Amino acid sequence: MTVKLLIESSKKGNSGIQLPIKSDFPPIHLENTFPKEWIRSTTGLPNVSEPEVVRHFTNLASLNYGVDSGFYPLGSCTMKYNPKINEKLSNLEGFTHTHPLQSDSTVQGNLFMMKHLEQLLCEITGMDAYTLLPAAGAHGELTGMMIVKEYFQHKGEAQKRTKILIPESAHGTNPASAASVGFDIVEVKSTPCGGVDIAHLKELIHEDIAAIMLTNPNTAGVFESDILEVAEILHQNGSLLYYDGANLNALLGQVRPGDMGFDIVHLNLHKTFSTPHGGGGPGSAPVGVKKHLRKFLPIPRVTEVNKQFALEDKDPDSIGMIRLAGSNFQVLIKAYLYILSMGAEGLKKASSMAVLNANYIKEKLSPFIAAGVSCLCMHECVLTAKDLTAYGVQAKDISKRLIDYGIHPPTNYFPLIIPEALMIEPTETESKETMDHFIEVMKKIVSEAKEHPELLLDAPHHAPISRPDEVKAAKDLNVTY
Amino acid sequence: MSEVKKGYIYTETDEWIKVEGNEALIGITDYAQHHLGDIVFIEIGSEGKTIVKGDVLTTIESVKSANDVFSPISGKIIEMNSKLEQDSGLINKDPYSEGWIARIQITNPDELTTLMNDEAYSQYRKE
Amino acid sequence: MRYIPITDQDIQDMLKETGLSSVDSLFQSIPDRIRLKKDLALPQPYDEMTLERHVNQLISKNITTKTHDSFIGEVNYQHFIPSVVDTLSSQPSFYTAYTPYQPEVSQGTLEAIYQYQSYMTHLTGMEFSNASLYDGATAAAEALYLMTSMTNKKKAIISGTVHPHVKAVLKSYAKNRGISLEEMHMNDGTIAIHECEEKCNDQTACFIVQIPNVFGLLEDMAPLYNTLKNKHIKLIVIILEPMMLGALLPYDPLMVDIVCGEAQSFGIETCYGGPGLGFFTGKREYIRKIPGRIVGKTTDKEGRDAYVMTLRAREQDIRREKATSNICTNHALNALRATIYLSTVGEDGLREIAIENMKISHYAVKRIETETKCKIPFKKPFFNEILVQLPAPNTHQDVMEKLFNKKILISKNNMAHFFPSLGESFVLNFTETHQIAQIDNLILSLKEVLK
Repeated sequence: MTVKLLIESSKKGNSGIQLPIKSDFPPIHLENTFPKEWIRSTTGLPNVSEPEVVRHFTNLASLNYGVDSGFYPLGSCTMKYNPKINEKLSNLEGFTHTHPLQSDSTVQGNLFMMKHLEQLLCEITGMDAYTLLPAAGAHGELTGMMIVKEYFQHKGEAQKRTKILIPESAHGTNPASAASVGFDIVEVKSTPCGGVDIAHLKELIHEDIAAIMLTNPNTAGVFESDILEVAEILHQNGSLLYYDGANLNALLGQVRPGDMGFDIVHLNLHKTFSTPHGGGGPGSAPVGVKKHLRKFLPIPRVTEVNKQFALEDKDPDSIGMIRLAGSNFQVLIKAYLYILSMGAEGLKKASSMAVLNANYIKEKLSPFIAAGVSCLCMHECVLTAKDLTAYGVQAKDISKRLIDYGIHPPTNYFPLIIPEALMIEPTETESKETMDHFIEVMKKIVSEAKEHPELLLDAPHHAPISRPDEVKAAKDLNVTY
Repeated sequence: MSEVKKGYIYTETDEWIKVEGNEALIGITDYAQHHLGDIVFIEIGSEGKTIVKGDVLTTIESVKSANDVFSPISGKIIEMNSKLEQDSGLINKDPYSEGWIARIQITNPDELTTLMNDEAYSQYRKE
Repeated sequence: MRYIPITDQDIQDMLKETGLSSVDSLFQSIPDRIRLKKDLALPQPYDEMTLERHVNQLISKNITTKTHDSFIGEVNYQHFIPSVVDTLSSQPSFYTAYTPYQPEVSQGTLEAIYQYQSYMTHLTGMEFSNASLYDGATAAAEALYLMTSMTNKKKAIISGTVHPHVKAVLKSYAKNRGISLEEMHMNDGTIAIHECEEKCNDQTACFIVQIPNVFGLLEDMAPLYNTLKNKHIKLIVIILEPMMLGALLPYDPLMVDIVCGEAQSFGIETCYGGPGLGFFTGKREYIRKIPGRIVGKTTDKEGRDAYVMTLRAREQDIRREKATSNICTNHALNALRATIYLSTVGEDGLREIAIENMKISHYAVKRIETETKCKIPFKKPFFNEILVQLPAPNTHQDVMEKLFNKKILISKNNMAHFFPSLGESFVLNFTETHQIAQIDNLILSLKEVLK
């Protein structure tokens, strides 16, 4: 089905709101108020009626696949179920009709929630303080890197500490964020299991290293059991440890990044804490720190004095403001409500089942598609389709064929250290039946690859579109009508 | 099996050089273009710029990657192939001729002696 | 646990099939020293009823526009949101979907974003738009980064009339890249043209202005275009209230390089500041270096129209430390809301809403000036907000508290804090959501509380 752009149905005289607008106010003459070259009569937007808008976006929605549609095993994205009560309650007017520049005394409910969430996150992750301001993981990393810089500035070591260590298996935002604030990147080799190569780390450690950025479990889904040794090496060198919390779902209630030795942590509320992905965002990425870094957190911060909450922005050591007034507040509410709904036992069950599910899938599938790493996986497993390339198919073709079976493909080609990677993260909100079905389908696709590879190479056959021409999209750029 | 042009000189980062007097014509090899896939964009500009061996000459973009092209020699960029602005795919179609990227004035001929000849490169990239 | 569909029997079956002895054994690679031995100290799990009660308790401690009239703007704006925006954006396959990396299962998101890009491009008069950023201030920071790296220059000039929050964010971002940000003074509430001409030199990458500015005034950029063009200085226009674009385009798009800012006004609730909607538009020549995702139109193998994320080679997952920006997750769902909003009000509706904003603000400002002791110092064109000065001995804090008792909310920002020469002052915002009775109440209250 092709859905026409709304502009193609535009007709003068149609509108989705009542026009003319009923007004009790005296008219304004634009020509007398503004220079005439500022006044415009067209803006290129369509004029369509409400039913046309509704049909258009309802039809568009039917072309989409979400977690509510079916299995969505995207590795490193934690596509877990988004609780509906959180959608309902975060949309109450008591929250949505508050403005970020209202005086603090008029939004005590909001500020209480933020302070409480900060405390809950400290307990879950073993950190001492949180900022709830960053809008997404990358923004959190940027904030973290700014804190690292400020910390060394205060110690008089800014000129010296110019480098950040990043594993070669790291997610692309890590080096991008570090480079964004002017650090040089030094790549640490990964072990076959995606872990930090300690020998190489020892070679690289030097007084110019400001920090290391790590995720644990790593991007191959394996827990870094050497983490305490890594922390020791970095701390002895006067360097800091930064934790990319993308994979925290494996560890809730089992172990805490603060206890592993991390000085700065960012969380992805839209992954671990069940807030919806929204087709690409918005997310939210609170950044947690240990005591010695608390004064560098961005402003404003929520403070509490005698049960009265306020936003404090006078901290002289803070890295400053990192966004307009406010936070991704509505996302914070959803994560807050999720934590309250789960409690300690729920969060521990979540990580336990997330890890069990991933291992179950790995165990059942690896006879058919080789495991990408031999080590025990946590909440996600990486398989490699490299043996199937002999039949002319690649990881991406398996993914496209999954679409024909009504299942969203797993993450392809990440981490970069594993060839033809298929990274599968089922999460804890999937039943054994769903996973068994996925396993059967994957087995079927593997045999199709061997006997009828064309079924994969031309897939999907049953989707609204198939194999769009991405070369043409980049060469003949058409980004606006 | 990718093509390797006889008489050209090669680098380990898959650039080729055709020496023409005291000028060098530079491009990327058949192996490289195959590895990149369909090339959608290459930055053309920098005429007159002085360049040092190992500097980034330009960046080639395919749909899923962006790769730096390193200058195998030091010198001054005389010209870059403006045809590539309209048709970056020339690099895929004809990497050793129509798909040339830059013409550089050689300032240090000794640098060429450290590079590979066509046989050595074929060995290097033996798949 | 109601979100986890795994029974004890399932656990037993899976342990058996994987040959694992227990669930606990899955965590054996965690060093024992740090393994949690007891439960996290969190409240007991709340069921839905308890959750609802808790939230109602929180909300009871908030004041909203349900009981009070709010005239707060500056960074977020109260606008009417047609009911279809909520209905259509809450369709599960929109909001529970991930980033559209697999185009075959995401044509809904992709086509919606293509339309979002088109609307923002046309509204700003630019040549492209990306698929969204976080908010107005971070969008401005990305613009600053882009212009300085493209020109290879480390100096930027910013008008003193840009909102203090935006300035603060730009300062934080600029510091880390060694960019020097020079702030200009203002002249009667808008840019001091002569000072700009003096401060711009061949080391200046760009000039940053906000329209409407912090005082609600529409900056007239015309006297500066030639200076900037001749000195090869890029022009960045920040817009925090894009509603004005429905009826006005107060700059020459040919002379502007980037138009960026905050589009929360288009169908998104204020919700205590977020999530909002950062937008980023500009001249075509920059498109290969811009931050954020962008959707392109193409065809598929059957020749059908298809939408895909394109120019991916700029992004962090491919370019890593050489990426044009580190951004990954954006504000896609809010871009969808904006698209639905703009589609529903349409070209004609948006124009009328913008005009209605101006009718109300101009009416209110006239009455404030003629009927109250407040002073309106800047007599320049404005859209829907204006700076109001309080006569001595009134203080902003005192007036804010007294107005609150009259069920009126004003901004907690005392502009004296950012612009000492202005004295006790604040910005008042008026939108199509305000009725005459509310303006009457404001005027009456100002008359009563001011000494």
